[in-house]
Amino acid sequence: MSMSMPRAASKQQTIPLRSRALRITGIYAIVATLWIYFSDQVLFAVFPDAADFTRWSVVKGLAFVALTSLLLLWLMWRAFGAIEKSHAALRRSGSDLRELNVSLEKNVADRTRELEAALIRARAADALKSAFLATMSHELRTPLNSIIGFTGIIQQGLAGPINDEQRKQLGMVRNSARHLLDLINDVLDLSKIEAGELRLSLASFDVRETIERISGLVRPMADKKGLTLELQIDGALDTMHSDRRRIEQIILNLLGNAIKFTESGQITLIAEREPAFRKEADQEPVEALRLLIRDTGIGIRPDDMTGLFQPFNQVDSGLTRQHEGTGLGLAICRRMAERLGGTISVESEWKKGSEFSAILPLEWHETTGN
Amino acid sequence: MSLKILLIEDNEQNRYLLSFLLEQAGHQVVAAVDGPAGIARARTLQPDIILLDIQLPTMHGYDVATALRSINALAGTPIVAVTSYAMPGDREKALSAGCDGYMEKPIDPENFVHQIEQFSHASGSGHDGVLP
Repeated sequence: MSMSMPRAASKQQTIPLRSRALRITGIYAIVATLWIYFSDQVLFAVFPDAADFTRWSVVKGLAFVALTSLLLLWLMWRAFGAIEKSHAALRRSGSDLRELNVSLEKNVADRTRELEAALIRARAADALKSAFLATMSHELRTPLNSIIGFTGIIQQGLAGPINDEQRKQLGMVRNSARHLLDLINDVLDLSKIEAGELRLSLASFDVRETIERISGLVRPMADKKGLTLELQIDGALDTMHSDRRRIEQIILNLLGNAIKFTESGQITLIAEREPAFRKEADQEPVEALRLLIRDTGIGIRPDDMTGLFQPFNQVDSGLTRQHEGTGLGLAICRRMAERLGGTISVESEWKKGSEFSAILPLEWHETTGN
Repeated sequence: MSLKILLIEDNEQNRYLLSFLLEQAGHQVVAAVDGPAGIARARTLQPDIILLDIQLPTMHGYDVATALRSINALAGTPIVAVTSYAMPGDREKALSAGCDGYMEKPIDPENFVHQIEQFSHASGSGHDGVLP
């Protein structure tokens, strides 16, 4: 018979011990009965006289009691000794268990304290980060306000007449200051997104009107470089519920990049309705706006594709840089698209052109995610 | 029309910049370097419009706006926050503290005066009071 339960195992051990007790008692009863019976017969044969027989019978009884007492003592000695030993072992393992328990509890308490401390530190760091951002924003804008403001005043001739060279150089100061401001704004935008502080302003708006208006903003840039800008907007697209300003920012950035990195040819913006978009494989499919921005520009080398959406990862970085920009545009676009439940991806062939594709749910509510 | 403008701004360069632009356009500018001075000047000056920086020493701009709003004589005077705070919620905070308008720094030197004039006129004819 095999049993695996611990309770059954301990029961298994007690049964042979009890049966041993039963066996010992049984043997004792038989031996004692036979002893009484035969020893009396032997005694009677030796001492037939009644008085002698009685006297020796007492002696025999006392001897029997003494012998059985010794036997009992020996048995109990062994049994109680064994019990005591197992008690001691139990106490030892009990105290081991208690010690283990105490050290476990201490470990758990230590870990909990450490985690709490880490959480408090993380929260403090987060608050510090937000405060730092607000301060940075303020501290950097205050001097820039003077730089841009006074440059503008002198440029406009409000502080007295200036010559053409001075006007040209002031224009450069102004452009640099503007660029610095763009950088500050982009860094702040990105930090706000990373700190989870980017608030969305969700409302319904006309998709076609938005795309046409933003394209209108960049059209002069395309015209200046002799590029054609073609729009193909699906007639089935009408209104969308999302953050209009953020979506405009994404379109503006992607179109701006396409124009910036294309020397000849055309930029095509295709907007279509995507009937079943899933951001994650386990999500319910939703209707979405699919934007494709295709250019015939310099394209992107396969090696440069991976870091493209990382902050400050400009393909033409360093001193050889030819193209203006903060290097944060695509990083911001991707994060914004994600915040609005969508994605941005890119396909490109080096020296042939690039195609950026943004997919954004047509109905986005804060509760839908994030 | 020449406006009587109270400018509360602690940064010397910015104070000079805004005063210069407004005075060039023919307006009268009185400047104060902090909240308490600004509030005292506002009582005696009775300006047409108040331009208020938000990050000020001694007294925070939001508190200055609230204090200015509690002065009966200034009930109809528009207060415009001109601030380099540009974090989410800063505009709402300024408006709920009693400002009627909110302009982010850096200001646009070509349009700044026009924006202030427009705001003052619009406010005089009783519009809802938030600058574009």
